[in-house]
Amino acid sequence: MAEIERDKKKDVLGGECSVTGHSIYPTLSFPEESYSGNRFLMQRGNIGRFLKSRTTPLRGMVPCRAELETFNEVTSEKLCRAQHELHFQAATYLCLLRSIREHVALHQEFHGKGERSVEESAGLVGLKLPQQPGGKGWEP
Amino acid sequence: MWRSCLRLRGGGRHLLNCPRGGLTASTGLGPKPPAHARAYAPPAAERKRFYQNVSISQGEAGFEINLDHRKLRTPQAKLFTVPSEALAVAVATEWDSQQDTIKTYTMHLTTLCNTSLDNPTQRDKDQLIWAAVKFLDTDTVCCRVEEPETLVELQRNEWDPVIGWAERRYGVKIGSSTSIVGPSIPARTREVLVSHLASYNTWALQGIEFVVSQLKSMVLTLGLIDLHLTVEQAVLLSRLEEAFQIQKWGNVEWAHDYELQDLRARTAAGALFVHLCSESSAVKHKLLQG
Repeated sequence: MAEIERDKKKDVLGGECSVTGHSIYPTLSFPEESYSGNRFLMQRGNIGRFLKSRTTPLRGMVPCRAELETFNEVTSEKLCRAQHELHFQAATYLCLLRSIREHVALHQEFHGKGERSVEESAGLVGLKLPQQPGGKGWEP
Repeated sequence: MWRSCLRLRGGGRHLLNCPRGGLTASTGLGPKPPAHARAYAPPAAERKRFYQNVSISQGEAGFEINLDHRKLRTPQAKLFTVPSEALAVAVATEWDSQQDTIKTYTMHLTTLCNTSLDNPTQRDKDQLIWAAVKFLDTDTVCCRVEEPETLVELQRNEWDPVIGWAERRYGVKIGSSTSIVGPSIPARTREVLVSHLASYNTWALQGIEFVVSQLKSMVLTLGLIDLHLTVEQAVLLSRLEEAFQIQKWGNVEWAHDYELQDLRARTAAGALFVHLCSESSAVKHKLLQG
């Protein structure tokens, strides 16, 4: 059974990180699944699979060209810095959801409701606005 | 902030090409309230949630969002396509999490995607990079105060490590300054950062420029996108002086962390947007030989 030798070229990790290259982020393989709105993080690949197949030490820094060439292990999965990056994305998404929820709660609790409409203001003192079926003459 | 106003005004009319029923003001005027009355009219009722299901489909240009079999469109009526599947799922989740009314000011990822797709200010990649690097001249972490002494020390303890990290990471000199003109950034620093930012695609650059304008700091944005800082840390460092004053004098009574949560939400959305736009995925199958 032939396993794929880890491609040493730049596009395995999603692009070279030298100054003229494009995206520096690793490739991830997606499971083929159906989608529903709330399974955002669970669909981002099986975390366990990535962790089991890690064969190089995690690096917090973006690997430079020289480091890429030292990755010559043979694995059956794509190598990626999934653990650190996925954790960061999960934490960022959690922060996003939590702060949106609290922002909306603060808005509903404390934010001003705006002015009353003319009808409501008239209703405060028990009056009603006159009805003019044709509209006022000078308005478009 | 003007960006979100743009969304609120245009989004109601152009999304899904739906007729604009039910949005007129409650007074007995015609379909368009006269311009001079707009200042006094109550805010228009928000659009109600008109769809039950949100799903994703893949088109030729990328992933699209379907609201109940109708395709989502941008405010300029283009088809809403994203290059990344995870980003599509996140946007779909935003739409799905709206209850009763659609609050477009909470859908930051959708807003960022709309900006990238429509490009209403028509900026190309170089202009985006230039706009982001320009912030370095007035970077928050580089502009220091001289008094009170506790704030000076706090800034030194919190901001110096971040600047040091950025200097080591990119091999440049940034430095900090207490003068009113701000730090003097050498030209080589600018070149290195410009060429680093050039390695991101246009969508990711929109996100980066957004985060820079929220945090008012290029250095903190670099820390975020290089996974050196978390969003809460970056926001705290950006608001360091405010946090210091709140700790000393107490918060403004009617402030209630409203802006803090908003800043966190926008920064988190921008950082997530940058990361989701910068990745690519591929599936390679193993070759099995008997």
